[in-house]
Amino acid sequence: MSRDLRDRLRDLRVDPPDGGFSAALHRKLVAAGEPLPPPWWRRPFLTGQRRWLWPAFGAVAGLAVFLVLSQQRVEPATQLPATKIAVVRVNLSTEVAVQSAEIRVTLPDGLVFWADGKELPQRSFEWTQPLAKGDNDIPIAVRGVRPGRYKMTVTARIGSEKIEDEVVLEVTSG
Amino acid sequence: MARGEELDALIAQAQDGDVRAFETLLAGHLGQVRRFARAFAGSDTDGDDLAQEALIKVYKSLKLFRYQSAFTTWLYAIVRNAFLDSARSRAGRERKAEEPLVPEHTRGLQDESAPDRSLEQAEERDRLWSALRQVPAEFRSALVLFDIEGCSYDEVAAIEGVAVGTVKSRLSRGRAHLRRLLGEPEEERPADAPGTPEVSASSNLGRRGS
Repeated sequence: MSRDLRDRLRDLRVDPPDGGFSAALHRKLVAAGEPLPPPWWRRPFLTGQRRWLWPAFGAVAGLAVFLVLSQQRVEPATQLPATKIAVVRVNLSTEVAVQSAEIRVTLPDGLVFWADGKELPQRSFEWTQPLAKGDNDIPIAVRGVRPGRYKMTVTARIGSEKIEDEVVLEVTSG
Repeated sequence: MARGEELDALIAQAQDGDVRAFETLLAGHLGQVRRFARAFAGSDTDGDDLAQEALIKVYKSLKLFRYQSAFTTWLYAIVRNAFLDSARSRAGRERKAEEPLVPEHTRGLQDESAPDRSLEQAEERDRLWSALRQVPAEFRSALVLFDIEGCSYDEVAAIEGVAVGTVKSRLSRGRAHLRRLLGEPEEERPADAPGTPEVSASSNLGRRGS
């Protein structure tokens, strides 16, 4: 008669011999270089050194865009003059604290990420962060390159669940 | 294992690129991470490679750790995501490469061989690992963390980013799946056994007004 499955699973808790694992890991860690700096939008916003930076844009268009998860709707486009920077605030609202959410923001051609007074070459940023219970604001600065209607894609993955939404921005020539 | 101020100091040093400090943080977790990886890889060697890849991802992401959760919870959450990603990207290939489980055949070999207890235990472990790798990834992750590693429901829930009820459901379904793979009869569910219906993670996410 077989022992209880849970007892047998518990028996799998045997530490494997190191067998060079630690040494190999050390080599790979050294080769990997230092931890990556957090994405610019994860750094303190409007605090410390950056306090001077954002007001310096002057014409920053503050947009509040709420990511309403799993809810079908037609999102009206938010107008953005091509000469302005828009801070799009994506809000991820959760009912429970989440230790690790993988978030990805992708821009189509026609929009660029903007930081430190210049456009960034990346078309997409992906990072992992915890989410506090309630609202989690993620400010993302973008600029329109040419007039048109564009969709910024925001994807959040929590465990096996993936939620994707689009923020519609209409870049005008004004 | 480092705690309190010592732990915070090690995290700060590791965030500044001190590999030794990071390795000290990992002390006591390597065995657990390697076992966890083994459930998502085809062999021990592949498991070790996967564990190392995941730990490098943890190291590179260290500056995103903001002390909003226990460091170990954060570590295992990243490691788990790396393993699930790997399982998804290699799912098709692994399914073909995986040797089918033939429990009767394995038992027959054990019966005919000399009663070597340690060999028998090793074969039993291999058989369990092999079956575990065929359990759907979300259930597998919960089984490893709870049944093998002895994490609590709350700890598994925090690592997986889901409600405790979801963890219980995944465990219950994972064990049932594992029993079927092992060719064992379904066990009657004890009164206090997990049985909460699966709640998708999206249901934990608040919806703003209409």
